[in-house]
Amino acid sequence: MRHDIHLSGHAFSLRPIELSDAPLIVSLRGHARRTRYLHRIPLDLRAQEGYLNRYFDRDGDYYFVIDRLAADGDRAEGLIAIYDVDVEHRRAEWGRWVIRPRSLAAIESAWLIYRVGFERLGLEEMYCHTLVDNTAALSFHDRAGLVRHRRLEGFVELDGERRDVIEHLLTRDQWRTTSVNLARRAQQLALRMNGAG
Amino acid sequence: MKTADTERTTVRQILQTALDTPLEGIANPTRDEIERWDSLTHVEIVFMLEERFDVRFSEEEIVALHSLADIVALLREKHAA
Repeated sequence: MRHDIHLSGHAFSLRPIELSDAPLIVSLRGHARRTRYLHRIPLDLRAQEGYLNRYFDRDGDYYFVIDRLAADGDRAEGLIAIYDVDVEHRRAEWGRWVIRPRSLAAIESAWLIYRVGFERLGLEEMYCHTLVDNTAALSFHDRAGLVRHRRLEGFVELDGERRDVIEHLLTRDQWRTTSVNLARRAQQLALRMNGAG
Repeated sequence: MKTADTERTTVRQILQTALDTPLEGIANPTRDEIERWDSLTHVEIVFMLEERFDVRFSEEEIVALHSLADIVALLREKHAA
């Protein structure tokens, strides 16, 4: 959907994705190593523009570009989204998370997307699905303080094969603790990135 | 300056603590092979190394550290500078 949520952190910010970001999607999602655990998408500019046009018409879907804040102009370093918003139960999934190689955006972009969910959208729960063999991402969510809620067998199809995912869950109460940890690390890292640490 | 062996041992201990994973039998643990070496843990490792060895890593160096050998080599460079 078209939204107007902008949120800046210490070294990165989230902004609404635009049609002109289609080449960015193709570029980021085309990086095999970074996206080997994500749904395959057509790596074609027109297809991505079509996807974005359909996304703009879809409610409950907030797609963002992760920008690196820089004095000489922000530059895109990744993508992230909140979708499948359940208004009644105030819960949503987040994902479509992909970051440029050699970027340090992971911690801060996770912190920012939770802030969007809990602080801007007023969610009570956020969850994410991670393929069981994506061990680094599973570990990231564990370390961030999320709870492994359940394993969903054959939940996604990737390369013609049904694959299991782990659903991590974060409630608003848990977020109060998790946010301290992520915010602290994001800030420390940003100081280093800005040459002040 | 620490001897090379002592430095390597200390780095290994830091990795083991941060990763909460036994590293015995792994000569050169790397980010690719240690599943708990995720982005968040990597930053924890960086800050632990900085504190222990009294050094500062640049953004480029933080990104480039991929293994125990990388870390030891960079520490030697910094101590030699």
